[in-house]
Amino acid sequence: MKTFAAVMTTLVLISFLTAVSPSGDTLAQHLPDVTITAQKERIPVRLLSSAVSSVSQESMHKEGTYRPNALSQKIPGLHIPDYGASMTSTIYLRGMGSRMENPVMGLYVDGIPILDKNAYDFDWEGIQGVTMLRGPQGTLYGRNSMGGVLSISTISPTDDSDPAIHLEYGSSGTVRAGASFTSGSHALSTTYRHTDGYYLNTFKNSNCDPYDGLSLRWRWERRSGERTIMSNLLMADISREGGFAYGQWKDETLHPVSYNDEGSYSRLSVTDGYRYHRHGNTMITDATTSVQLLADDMHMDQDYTERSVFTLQQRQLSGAGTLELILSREDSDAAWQPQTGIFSFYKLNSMHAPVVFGRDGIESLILNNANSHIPTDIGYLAISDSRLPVNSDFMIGSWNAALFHESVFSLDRWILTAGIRLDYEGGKMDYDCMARLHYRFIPTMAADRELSVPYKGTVNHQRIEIIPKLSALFKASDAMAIYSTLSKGYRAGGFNTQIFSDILQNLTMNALMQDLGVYLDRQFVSVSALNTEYDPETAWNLELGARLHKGSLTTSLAAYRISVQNQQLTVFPPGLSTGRMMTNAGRSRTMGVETEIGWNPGRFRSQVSWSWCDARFVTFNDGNNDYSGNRIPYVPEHTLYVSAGYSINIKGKTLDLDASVNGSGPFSWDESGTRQEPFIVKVNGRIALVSDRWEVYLRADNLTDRTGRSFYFKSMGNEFFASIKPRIIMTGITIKL
Amino acid sequence: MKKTVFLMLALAALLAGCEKSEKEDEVVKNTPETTDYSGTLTVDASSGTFDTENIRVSFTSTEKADSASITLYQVKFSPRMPLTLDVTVPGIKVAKTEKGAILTCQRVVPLAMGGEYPSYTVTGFEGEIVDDELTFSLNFGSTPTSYRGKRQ
Repeated sequence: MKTFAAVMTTLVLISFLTAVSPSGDTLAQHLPDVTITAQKERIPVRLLSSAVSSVSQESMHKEGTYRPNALSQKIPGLHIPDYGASMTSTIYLRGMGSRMENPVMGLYVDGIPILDKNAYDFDWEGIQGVTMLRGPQGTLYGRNSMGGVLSISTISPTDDSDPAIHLEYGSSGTVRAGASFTSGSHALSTTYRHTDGYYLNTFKNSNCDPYDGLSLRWRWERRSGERTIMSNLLMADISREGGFAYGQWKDETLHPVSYNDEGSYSRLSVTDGYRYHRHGNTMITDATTSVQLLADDMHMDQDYTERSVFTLQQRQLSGAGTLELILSREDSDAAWQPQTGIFSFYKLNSMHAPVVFGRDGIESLILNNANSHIPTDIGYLAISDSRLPVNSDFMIGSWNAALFHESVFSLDRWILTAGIRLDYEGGKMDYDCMARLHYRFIPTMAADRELSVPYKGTVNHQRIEIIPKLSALFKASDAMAIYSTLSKGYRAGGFNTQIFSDILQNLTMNALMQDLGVYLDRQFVSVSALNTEYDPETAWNLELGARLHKGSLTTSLAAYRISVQNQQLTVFPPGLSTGRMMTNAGRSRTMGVETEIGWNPGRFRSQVSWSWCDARFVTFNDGNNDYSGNRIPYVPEHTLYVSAGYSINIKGKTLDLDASVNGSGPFSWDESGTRQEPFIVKVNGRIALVSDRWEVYLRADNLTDRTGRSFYFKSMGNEFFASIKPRIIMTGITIKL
Repeated sequence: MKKTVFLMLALAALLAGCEKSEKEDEVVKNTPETTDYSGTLTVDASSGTFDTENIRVSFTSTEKADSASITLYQVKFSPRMPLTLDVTVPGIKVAKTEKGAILTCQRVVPLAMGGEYPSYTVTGFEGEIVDDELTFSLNFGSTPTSYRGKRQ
């Protein structure tokens, strides 16, 4: 640690001294165009020793990409299945990812890090484009960037873009309306979306996934002299939706969605980020700070059946603050480009998460389980409550402090990069849980007896991660570059909250038996709160890549091998469990190849994105089975996106014809590989008539109405699948004012 | 004045009387006393006789110490029983001896699982406490059972 501190201090001092050393040139000669970019890297994206994908505003508009999950397959190796609700945001990237808790992908909007995964999925409007850095980016971006970093750039007041409004209408009563404009120091965009939903809940005879959401983004930007620029980005999103369109897999048949209790998700997310960027004589200062608020409320029929077994509510109110300061060299032509930064955040989340057992749940999950252990000649247990609430309240604090440095050396045709980050993260969870019921043992008890089972305590953790990076890029020619990177990333650890209902359920049964003076030879066993903490997941990435840019052709190729330690996976405790929990599964490794080809000669345009990924456990034994060597579930072996388009001039207008296919798979749905999904391809198309000021279009997603399954899970031993969305046809108009 | 003094004396005498009465009660009153034993429970089950070691038994005497209850903790009456029970035998007569007490009980419904449990009605209870050792035998329903334990 002392050595590390010494190295970091030396680097900071050297970079500072270099930065403040007098330069022979005047400021006017060197003063670059001062802009704020979403990336932290000090060199142009095309010279990065990392796989990079960019999706332009035009491409997103044509494809109807207005949510992060629509980037799946367009970015090689990225798979964000569209299921559940907006809070789900399950992200798989380069063979890494998991259903719950911390993501493997960092998300930045105009350089502001979005901390809460529940806020990842929001409707986009007024977006200039997105850039994805693939592979671990831990040195500059820290936690939760082990799969990559997605940077979203919003429209800037300096863009001089035309004000625009658009309106879309189509399948399932979907309406999407948006507007964006810039004026003076301000850029404003807003969008509203409504849909009646795509999946019928046959029990309620209504769609289970309607959605209404409103998003607002306001960016303010102001220059102060020639050297300083300040900006503020305010993002607010409010939505109310249904969701959880899961059908039961029974008798080798996928049954329709049919559940009786409420399934809904409401969210208010507000983020405000302020950035300060100053070109000094010798040094560039970048400071970013943000406050992030999220209030959401989820209701879920957790058995997903027509029976009143049990429901889950999860209501959260979280607040977070972030701060980052980066110092870098002003002279962008210098051979050595150092940057040193600090980052910290604090987040506090108050969560109310009661699980309520209905009458069917009391009978099947509690009484049947308990009475199966009691000989009938002794008697049996009865619970008179119609509902059995298991209340869980959590106060979860997490914090992080990091110091990082990266130096880029330009040596003739070589660009060498070395970086290191010292990252400290801590977390604390206070839990306050209570189960209360009225029971009676028949025939010995004449009346009901009340039993209360409290469960309170605190767990905490602290971790230090050292995240180095080394890379080299060779400019083989003006058009071609080859690179190699060795980098590390990590995904933060955390606490399982959803397993607490399971813990309380077992504690309650044991307390009830103790209250009765009955002791089962097989006690109701569950994990305890101490087991609810899980460790960070770390990944080492070795990557070779090349990119070529010649005329209208751009290609890139990357091959990588990632070793993952302490892989975080969601597992279901054995038996009739109601909880899910994250566990560190052991080790895994991923090998893969990714390529992107873009060819845009004249009026023709085309794009191919493809990835192959072989992600397997090296060691994973969950206590019951050894899954070593098996495929990591939910990770597609391939992702593919192919698009082609042509523009035809017709009397001063342009007719755009575009078609694309995208697909992913095959998948293993579980660790054992017994449930699998083949490669699924969807066909999409678009036709548009475009003039200078307006555009009308017709767009179809999943044109052939291909069926398939997008997600799998188990609840109470039952198997469920989410299906891919059916054919969606939208027609729309865009007007530039 | 005389009347006031008389009243005060009478009040003092009354208070003194009350105090005395409370003291007398304390002498008479016996608080319930619980003594724990640990020992071996022998059950003559239909499948054969089996012993269970380290069974805790609480002997709780009543206020007047002429009767008591015995609670057996976590016992099973058949090796195949998938659970153990806490069972209390109430209404045991206690006759003091020089070294301890003789315990008897003809027929009583034990308490288990939150109430009376007639299926295990106790008959033929005989036992004694000698120094720090408790022994007794009884029938739980039709199951002959005996116990020998040392004071803890």
